[in-house]
Amino acid sequence: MTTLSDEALIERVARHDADAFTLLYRRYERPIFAVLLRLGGQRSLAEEWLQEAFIRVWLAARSHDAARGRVKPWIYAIALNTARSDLARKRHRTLHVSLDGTGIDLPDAKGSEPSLSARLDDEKHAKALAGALVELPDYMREVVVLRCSRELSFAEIAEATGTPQGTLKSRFHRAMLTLRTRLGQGRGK
Amino acid sequence: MTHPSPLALLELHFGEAPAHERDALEAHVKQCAECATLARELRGLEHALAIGPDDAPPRDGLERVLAHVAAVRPVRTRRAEWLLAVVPSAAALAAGAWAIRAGGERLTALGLVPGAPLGPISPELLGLSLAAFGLVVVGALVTLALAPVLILESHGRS
Repeated sequence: MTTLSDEALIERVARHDADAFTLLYRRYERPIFAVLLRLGGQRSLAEEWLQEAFIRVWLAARSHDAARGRVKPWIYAIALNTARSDLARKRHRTLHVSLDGTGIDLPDAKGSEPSLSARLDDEKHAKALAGALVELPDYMREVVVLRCSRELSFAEIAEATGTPQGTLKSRFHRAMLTLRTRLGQGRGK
Repeated sequence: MTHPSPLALLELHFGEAPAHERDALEAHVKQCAECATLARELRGLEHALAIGPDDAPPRDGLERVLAHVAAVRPVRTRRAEWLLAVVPSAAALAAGAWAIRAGGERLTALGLVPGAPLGPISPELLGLSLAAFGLVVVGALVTLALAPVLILESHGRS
């Protein structure tokens, strides 16, 4: 069953097949959790959203219409809506910045060992960047986090958010300019 | 120098640039410091947001979701429990009525019981009364059997 497509799995989930649901959950829990973690900034919040999102997937599986879109953007849309509605309620706007707790992946885990100064530069840069990301409007941060996760193309993000691709790319670029300005100001201080 | 649009550089970075534009864009980025800066910033941003080993989702996440989902389903389950109670009761009622009627007819046929054995009460009425009594008994037994389940379920929901 592990080779089944998302579409085949969601059909089974619609018939309350727990095994199919388990496979779908295992397929998406990690990337979706990472996105939620970066949107919410707190592990506990991301865990809560992940759980809520997959409960919604289970309950809404019957309403998924394969003709109107693929499963992957549909699941991301559910996760995003879960996060958005909760954020709107809580007005929670802190971003996950801890380097050792969660989130930012330092390069020592990937092959060659960088020098200490390079690592410190990376840490400083990552902290500054995370701080600047916090200040971005939600709609900008969303597209940056989603596209940088490398899980969704702009076309798929457009499907998940209901926003045209051109608008998403413009938002991404504006986010880059905003970050550049803010990080530049930070260096100047 | 004419620069490509920033959106084209975004597409190039994320591997979404049209195939016929890719080579020209890459060649431009190699020789243009301004566009190379944007490309470097994109790599830095992506690196900072990369999924790390500490981003693992909760280990018991699936169990928690399945537990919630099970709590959402009892509407169907309760319907099934009702069927569980009704079907044996109806079967007991039918079997009791049939047994009493057949038994009465047999006793009458053998001449062991005169025509109206119980005075004004007909065999059919007697059968129905006994069947109703049987239904009450079966219902009580089913209720007793299901009571612990229903109590535990309501306790779990509160």
